[in-house]
Amino acid sequence: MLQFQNICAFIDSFRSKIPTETRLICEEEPNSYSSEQYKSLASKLLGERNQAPIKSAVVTSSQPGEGKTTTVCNLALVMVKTFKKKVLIVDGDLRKPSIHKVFDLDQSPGLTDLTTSESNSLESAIQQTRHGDLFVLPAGSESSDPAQLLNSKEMTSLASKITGKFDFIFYDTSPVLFTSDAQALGKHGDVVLFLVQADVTPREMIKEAVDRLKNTGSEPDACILTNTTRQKNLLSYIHGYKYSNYYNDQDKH
Amino acid sequence: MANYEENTLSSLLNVALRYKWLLFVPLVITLLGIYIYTFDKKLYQSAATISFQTEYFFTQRNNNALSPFERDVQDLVASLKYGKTLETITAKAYPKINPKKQRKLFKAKASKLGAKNGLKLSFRRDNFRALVISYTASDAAEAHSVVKATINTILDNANITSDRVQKSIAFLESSMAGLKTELLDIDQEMLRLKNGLAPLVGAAANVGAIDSVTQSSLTPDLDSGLQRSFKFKESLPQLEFDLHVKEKEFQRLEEKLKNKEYLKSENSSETQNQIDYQNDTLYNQLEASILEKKKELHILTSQGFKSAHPKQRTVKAEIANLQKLSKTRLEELQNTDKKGGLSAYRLSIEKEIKKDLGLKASEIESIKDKIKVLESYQEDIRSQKNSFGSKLDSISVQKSRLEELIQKKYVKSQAYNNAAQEVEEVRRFAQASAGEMGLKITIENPPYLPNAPIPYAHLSLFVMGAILSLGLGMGIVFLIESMDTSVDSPAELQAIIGVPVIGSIDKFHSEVDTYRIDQVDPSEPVSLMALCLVFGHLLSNTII
Repeated sequence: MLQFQNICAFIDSFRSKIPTETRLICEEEPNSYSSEQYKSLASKLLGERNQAPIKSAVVTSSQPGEGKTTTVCNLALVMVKTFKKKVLIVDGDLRKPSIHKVFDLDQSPGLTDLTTSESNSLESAIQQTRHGDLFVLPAGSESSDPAQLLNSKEMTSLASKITGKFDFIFYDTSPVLFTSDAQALGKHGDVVLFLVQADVTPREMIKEAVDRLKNTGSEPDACILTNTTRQKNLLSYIHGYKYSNYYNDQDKH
Repeated sequence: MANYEENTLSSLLNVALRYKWLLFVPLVITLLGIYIYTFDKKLYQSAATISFQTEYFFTQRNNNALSPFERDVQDLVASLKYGKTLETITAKAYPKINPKKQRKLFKAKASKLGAKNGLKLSFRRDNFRALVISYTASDAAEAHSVVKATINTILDNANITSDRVQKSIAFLESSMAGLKTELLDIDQEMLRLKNGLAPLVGAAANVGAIDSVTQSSLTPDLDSGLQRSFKFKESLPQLEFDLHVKEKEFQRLEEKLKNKEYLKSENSSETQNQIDYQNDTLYNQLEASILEKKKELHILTSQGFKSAHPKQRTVKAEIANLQKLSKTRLEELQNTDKKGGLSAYRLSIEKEIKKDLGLKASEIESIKDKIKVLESYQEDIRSQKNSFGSKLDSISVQKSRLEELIQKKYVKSQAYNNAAQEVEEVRRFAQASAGEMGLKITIENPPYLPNAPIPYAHLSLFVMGAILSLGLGMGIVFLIESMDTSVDSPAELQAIIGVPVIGSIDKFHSEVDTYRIDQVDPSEPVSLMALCLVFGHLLSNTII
């Protein structure tokens, strides 16, 4: 006769996995499968483009909640921890800034303050995180016209100033279909990364967002598919189990 | 799904797993529902076994006289008595199927018969002539009584009693009576339709609204008045021809009268004959004198007088004189006719012609009158034809109904004849098998009153419920999936926007959420508990 526990375990296997609230998975679970995926992505980004090293990337998506901030933070963290790089995250989402919350920093002074007032120095605005060589330039004080600000000469000047001071700079931006901020920031990065949330973002929205970026000369150089489902079939459950056990065993050792 | 994505089993499983709750929740609800429905449900089963021995033959046709249930049982009984040649019977029923399948079909037939009457009929494996009859009900007494009643029915069917024969005949005769009534009704309706149809068809034919073929197919019973009206219609061209002839004749007579043509032929012998010259005395005397003188001349010639002889010359001169006188007289007579006698003759001819002309004129008038009538009749017909659409519809409807009735009549007649033939056969059969009736049936195990309930067939219900709910769930899942336009793989994304996909990030799963088999989360959902209860109860009933 079947054991009660076995039945429970069987049912459990079909139970939905609730997404975790943790954003910095590379910090919380450095040996997890997701961390490995970030590491793989980071190594690709630290490569070359047109025989020149990639130094900055603008990260955007078609709509909110597709994982821009999470991706930027985790990639930056991986670059610092694993690849020992000095990395800056520029919070270009001036309408809904969130990078400072992730790293528990002050929102201002930041990007808006630097571009609107000369009284703030770049050094005072860029804040170091608890992760050593990971720095953040927060969004700064609330701005009435973020698009104009990001298109300003001051922004161009600021971008040229920070370039070269860090091994890699990430620009976190707002969604393409809701604002034109990403298009404005696109010219400051060596590459434009376009994020798409798997099983959620409709194709029509993706196409429209890419078309808008192309029309403003910020054509995406690469895409990242986020929030994909690892357990593609029953066999993947077993693989996932093995993978988890492998790292658990490593930790025990 | 996109074209570039293969519909492999893996991708289907992927879809199913993505919407696993849509599959799981209906499954749990269904199983729970079945559990609640079947909880503490008691069923009682009663059974009996009977065996058969072949002793009589029962015609297939005769079975038609039985009620449906009796017929099925009869089929079964008749088939059972042929236990040794079961294949022969089934081969007759299913000629294109091999013997193994025939046996299977026969069993299926038996089980269908049982199912139809709420019974379960099965053959014992060790003895194919032994039939196990069982019935399941929520009440023990009901199960018992149904099995008992079934056996009694089979026993009744096994014996051909005179009562059964009478019953069959009565059944057939009542069928025949019913058929006869129906046939009479059909005949009456047909007659009514024909009577109603005839004037309509006649009127339609008169105005040329239906063709002659249709008319002839619909007018076998047209009344004589209508027939006359057709003849009247047909006489118009004849009348017109007659009129033409008469008018021609009339014209000719008029011409004759006008040109006095009849006078042109007055010197003809016919005309002369009409003048009585012989009755004129002077003329006759002169002619007689000429004849005598000619005789005298002939005598003189015969007596040898030469022509130059004065006697002869005198006679000749006398003859010439007489001839001259005769001619003069004839001329006088003729002149007299022209002045008096011949004008009377002309008048009489003219009178005749005029009389003819009058006659012709009256005939022409008569024909013209008739034509006038016919033309007015034709005008009337034309106006009728213009307003005939609705009548044609009516004809069409009535005609189709008539055809339908003819067909129905044919079918009913056939049925009636068959029933009559069947009655004869039943009577013959009853007489022929009077001494050797009956199928020997032994009741091996009599029906019993069940004293304990049987285990309810949970497993099959649960399996069916699970299959149905999963099927429904899968249907919903694939409907949702077909409407989903989101992207779920890097390859698909790359194909859409043409930009390389450098990587993908999975949903975050913390270690505690990773699949494991050795830990149980204490906060399992209520549905899980319910499912366990269902499984537990099910397994305890089926396995233990």
